[in-house]
Amino acid sequence: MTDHILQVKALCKSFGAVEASRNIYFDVCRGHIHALIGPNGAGKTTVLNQLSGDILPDGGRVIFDSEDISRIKPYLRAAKGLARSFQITSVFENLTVEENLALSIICHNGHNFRFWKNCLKDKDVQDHLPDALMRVDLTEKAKQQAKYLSHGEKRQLEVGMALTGKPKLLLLDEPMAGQGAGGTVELSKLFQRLKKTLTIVLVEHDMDAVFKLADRITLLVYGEAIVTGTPDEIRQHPEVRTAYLGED
Amino acid sequence: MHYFTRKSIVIAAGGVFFAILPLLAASFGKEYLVSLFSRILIYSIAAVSLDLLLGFAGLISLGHAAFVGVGAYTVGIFFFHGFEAQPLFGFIPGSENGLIVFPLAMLISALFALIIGALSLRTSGMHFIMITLAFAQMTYYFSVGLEKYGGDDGLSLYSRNSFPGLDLSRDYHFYYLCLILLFLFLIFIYRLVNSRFGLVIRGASSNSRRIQALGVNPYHYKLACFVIAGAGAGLAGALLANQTEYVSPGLMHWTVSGELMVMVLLGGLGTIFGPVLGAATFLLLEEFLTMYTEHWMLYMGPILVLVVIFAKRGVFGLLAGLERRHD
Amino acid sequence: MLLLAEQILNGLQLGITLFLMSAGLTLVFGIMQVINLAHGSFYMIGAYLGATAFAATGSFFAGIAAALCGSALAGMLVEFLVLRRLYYREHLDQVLATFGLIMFFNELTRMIWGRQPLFMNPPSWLEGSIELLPGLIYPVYRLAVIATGLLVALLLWFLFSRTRLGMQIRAGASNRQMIGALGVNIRLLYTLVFGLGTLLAGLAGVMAGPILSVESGMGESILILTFVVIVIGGIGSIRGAVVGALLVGLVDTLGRAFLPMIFRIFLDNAYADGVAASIASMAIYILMAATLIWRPRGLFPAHG
Repeated sequence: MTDHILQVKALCKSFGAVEASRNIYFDVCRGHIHALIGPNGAGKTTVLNQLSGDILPDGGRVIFDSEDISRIKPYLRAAKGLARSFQITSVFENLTVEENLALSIICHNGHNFRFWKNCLKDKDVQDHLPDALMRVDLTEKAKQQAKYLSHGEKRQLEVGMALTGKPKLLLLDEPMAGQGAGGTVELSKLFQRLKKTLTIVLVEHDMDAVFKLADRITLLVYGEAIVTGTPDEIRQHPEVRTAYLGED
Repeated sequence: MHYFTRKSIVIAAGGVFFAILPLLAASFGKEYLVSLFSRILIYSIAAVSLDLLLGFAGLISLGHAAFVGVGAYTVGIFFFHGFEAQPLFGFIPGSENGLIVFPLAMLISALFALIIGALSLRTSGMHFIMITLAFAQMTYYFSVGLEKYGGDDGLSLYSRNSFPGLDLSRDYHFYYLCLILLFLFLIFIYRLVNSRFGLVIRGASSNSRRIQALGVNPYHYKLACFVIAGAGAGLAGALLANQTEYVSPGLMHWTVSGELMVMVLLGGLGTIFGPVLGAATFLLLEEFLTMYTEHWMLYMGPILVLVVIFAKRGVFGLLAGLERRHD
Repeated sequence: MLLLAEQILNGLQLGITLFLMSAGLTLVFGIMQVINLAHGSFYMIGAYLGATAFAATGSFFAGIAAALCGSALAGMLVEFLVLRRLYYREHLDQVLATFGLIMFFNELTRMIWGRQPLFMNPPSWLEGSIELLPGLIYPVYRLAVIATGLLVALLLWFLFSRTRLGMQIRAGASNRQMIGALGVNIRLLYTLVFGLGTLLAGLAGVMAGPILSVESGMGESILILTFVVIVIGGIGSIRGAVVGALLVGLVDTLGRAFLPMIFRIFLDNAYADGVAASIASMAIYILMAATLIWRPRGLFPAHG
């Protein structure tokens, strides 16, 4: 019996007349990098948003670590060990890099109704901030406001923030988008390293990266999960060739 | 570390100025300035507390004067019952002791803020602005309905509160009480903004969706912030009641809330110390313009529009060379 | 019973005034996403211009024409000079700038017309009262206000549901992106919508002239009531404005008329009047709070 950290069963979601998710099933194994691919408009981000709780499904279930989380709020899912990054980089623009990371550290450690002591001198922050900065290579930019970072640096920061919570499952929405070739290689290495400690579900357009990185892949077309399998199986699958790779 | 940044020089200069102002006023024979500057200090406390909401928590409250008014009425009502020797609700004795009524004023304002905030924070954006305004109006009409305490005409205090070691009837003593309370309040807000709590608040206002992805429900933090700001406004109200020895519904009029907002903006949004300069600028400008024309608002209005459109860093931002916190 | 009927008519008349105010404001909120505190100023401008023109010419229609033209022109001018620069700014900037506009307009009217309120009589052909039902005597002027308001509501309904411009405006109120996609000249449309809103406010102002006194600052009390209407009805929704306005108008009027009587049953007279008056003033805010607890986005939220 394989150890499934995440199970998606019969997930359905419509926006008006548009069926963005149609009866989607797939399982994610613990310790895998699991990619969701599909042509534009296949509903990949919609699925990811339903996993994170930013959108609630119309029907079906999301089971995380043997617990049904289909209807609970995003912040509660985060507390259970499910972290996400956004397609459009989402950091706290007005805060500095270290404040961004400090904020995600303190949100994962105890309560924050502490009104007096400087947050950067907090014990949790002092313990974890240097590592957190190092892990995503931003130590030198620590005092800079996030809005002045380059696109790639923001992405690094975002992944760094998602990691501070020591999540069990990390959801990444197009992490490679907008990265140069160098950035893609760097991020790929980072994800390979991370795989040892957690599971990653990512939506990605960069097919080379996906086929190199992913352990398993689910293909979505028009809101349906056509097939799930290893990269080799996906490459061989006839529907994949017609539905997706043919277009590429 | 850079101890001599432009910002710290501006703050230090401001501090020294306020500390020696009574001496300056006395040596130039303009004692009335002490009372004017006491007013500035009091409005500074209210404006700083509002800046916590506007500049840091991203909560645009258009009803902050309500909490100033509640603080003032607390002082007024306790004074009334003490003076008449007639217990409130039949069992709470009145008091004119500052050490009792000042904390009470803050507490009761905080309580009002808790109720109003808990309801208002269910909404956001434009709804929040209008709701806070409406609740402030409700508080205003409530105070108008307090027939026992003068209703529309308000309530006179026959003297200022007593504080051990101070004689508040002397303007200098009162001035320094205001200054010390403002100083303590500024330190508190400064620490607060840089604390764990403050970081969460700033994060929630910068990107509400992201903070939820971190496992935080911003509602409770925003509510706590609203309550703290309410308590600060209550303190300002208690001082204001003492300065004028008079409380009336006019304190809670919605234009007062608007003026507090103007002070925050003039001084510099999200700068903690800026609103002090903002309050000083607003009240001095009012004083100055009224010397030349009774229609000072005719000039103040357009000045405000121009500041909003062209100079959003505020006076403190210009002096201290800060960049704007929010885009 | 007669008293109740009379008070319902009064509530209807207040509701109509509030509807005229909130219809324009809710569109400005919904389409431009601008919070405009100065909306009450155009109500005041309408009242002052109407009263002055009526007094000068002796013709009530001249007064109404002056109020409509003046408030619409002032509105479009303000949109062109100030608000246009604030569309993509934070709400806080909009609040502060429009607060500045209120200060300006209030002081301007004080300078031109002085501090004393103006009094405006209804035109002679609308003076007096008629007996609607046996024993129910009601002022003709107030009936005319109600009729005019209903007529305007009908015209607005026609504009929004039957004309191209109205469709565009409605589309904009419920979906901002869509309006750009339709290839509409947005700048012009915004100016027109703003002008339409202030024109309605001016109409409300001049019609209220003979009922209330015309004075500086008269715009703010009605503005806050208008906010309550919009919050209850839902931002950007005309239907919400209709329902909210009637609800607020009736609750406010009936509360003030009947709460003292009800309280006198339980309390002694002097005390009852004070408590009742205070609760009656708060009634609409309580109504608003209750609505929001039940539906945080109002009764008819326009944005899906």
